[in-house]
Amino acid sequence: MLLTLIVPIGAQALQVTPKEMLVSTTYNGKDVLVTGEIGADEEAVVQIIGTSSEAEFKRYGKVGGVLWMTVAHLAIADAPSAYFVYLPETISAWRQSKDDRWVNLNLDYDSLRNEIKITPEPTDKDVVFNDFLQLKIHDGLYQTVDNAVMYDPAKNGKKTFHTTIHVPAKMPISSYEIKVTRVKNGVVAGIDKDDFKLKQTGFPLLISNLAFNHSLIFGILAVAIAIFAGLFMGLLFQEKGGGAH
Amino acid sequence: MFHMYLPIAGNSVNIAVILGLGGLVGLLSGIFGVGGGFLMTPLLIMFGIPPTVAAASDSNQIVGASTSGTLAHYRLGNVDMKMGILLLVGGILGGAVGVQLIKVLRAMGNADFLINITYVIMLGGVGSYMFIESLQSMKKSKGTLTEHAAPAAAAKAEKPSGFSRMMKALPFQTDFVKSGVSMSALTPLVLGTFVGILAAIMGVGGGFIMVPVMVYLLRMPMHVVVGTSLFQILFTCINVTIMQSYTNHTVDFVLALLLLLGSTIGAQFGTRISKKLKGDQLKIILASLVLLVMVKMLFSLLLAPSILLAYAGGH
Repeated sequence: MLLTLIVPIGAQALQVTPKEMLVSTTYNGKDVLVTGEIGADEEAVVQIIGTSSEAEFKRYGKVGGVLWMTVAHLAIADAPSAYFVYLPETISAWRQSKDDRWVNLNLDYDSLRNEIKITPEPTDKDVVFNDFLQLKIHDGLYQTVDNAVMYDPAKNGKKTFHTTIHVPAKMPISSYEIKVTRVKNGVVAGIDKDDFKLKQTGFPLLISNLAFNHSLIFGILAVAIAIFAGLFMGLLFQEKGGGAH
Repeated sequence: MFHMYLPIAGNSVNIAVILGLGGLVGLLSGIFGVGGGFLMTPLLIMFGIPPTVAAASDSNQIVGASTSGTLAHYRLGNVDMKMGILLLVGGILGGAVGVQLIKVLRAMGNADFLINITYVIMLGGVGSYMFIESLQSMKKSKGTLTEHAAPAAAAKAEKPSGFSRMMKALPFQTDFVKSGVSMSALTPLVLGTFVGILAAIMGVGGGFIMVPVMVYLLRMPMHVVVGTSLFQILFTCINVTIMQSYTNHTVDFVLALLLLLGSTIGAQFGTRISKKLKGDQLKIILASLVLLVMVKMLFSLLLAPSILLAYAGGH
């Protein structure tokens, strides 16, 4: 593994728009624009990495050689809640041809393999990890997108990169790291970081607060409103002169 | 497309789709007296709702749909409250036992196998019996066996079976006027407990088990069964919704509200359709639905899933 060099660059070099996404009643995902400046001879790989979390899963297997059902319950920890990798054209070609330069950058999902913890530890950890990846990719929370980072023409030895990342509605409410890896001659030349966050507002925030901080009242309220709605609909549809069957 | 964000499910849904799902399941509630959880929860999971949130929010919407359906059936004289309360009490006791049983089985590592086999056997057995019985009953009512029915009925009246004599000998004999039956109050209590245990094991409200129990073991007329079943499911789901919200924080009220807007309307139309169908017709359609769900369950057990890992929770 090559050493990575974190080189801080100027405050204006990396821009994330918006820095804060408000999740309101009609939220259905939103785009994040990431722009920055790199050397004319560099490539930019843009990543969004979520915070680590633990989640519970059930694992399917064959019972009696015939029936597929749950055979184990697992907890998977230290896996990022989201992991997006957006690539420019050159590096996309390396990835598609499984070039050593792509492998050496260590930016794909394999970089997570040794970080995640599975409890209880299975004998076939690699298989479980691959199933976990499939699940996350199916959910749209882990993505690798080729040919997604564009450049403006170089000027004075620098060029501007930009990419638009679609944040799906399913992404957990949290802060996310934006990481830009600058690649020069097939090796990592520097890493720049910023962040953005998803924040609930309005009605979703009210409901979340009630559900987690006043859960008993929330449950009773949910039932009361359901009963009221049922009674209201019943009265609305009341037939005149209806009788016993 | 108008989307709405679900704060507890942590996802966004198309409003029209959820209203439609609610309407469809509400329709089934109104026609057959089932809660619909066995249909709704898998459908919600298909649309990206986490299993635990799907199950808990579905319970919330069943409260609305069954309120609407119970009220409609009550006006038609189809709710036997006395019977419903006894079944409910038994169901609560049975549910508590069933939850403990699941804990023991989980500790032994056999829970999921038992749950799945119970599902298939119960769905297959109940559905097949209902289907065959309703078909025979429909044939009889067309008059093909009337020349044999009268002597047979007379013979039956003269010799009550040992089982009937035993049932008559039980204490607390009660007249259930709405259902037109007389039996010991212990009978619905015990049967309700049995259904409660099964419902806890299978993780459902129990409607599709309770309806055949009421029809075949309690000998209630089908239309009263539908209304009384909805009455019993209403209280079961009130309990489940509050417990899920308090214990697991998995009730997504926005999702439940969208579903119940659709399902309360669907339940009203379902009740009207139910009025137009004869008891045997209702039974045979419900039996077909139950058998379909059994076939779907069997396929999911026999075919390899596309991903061998899934989020925990749900039914």
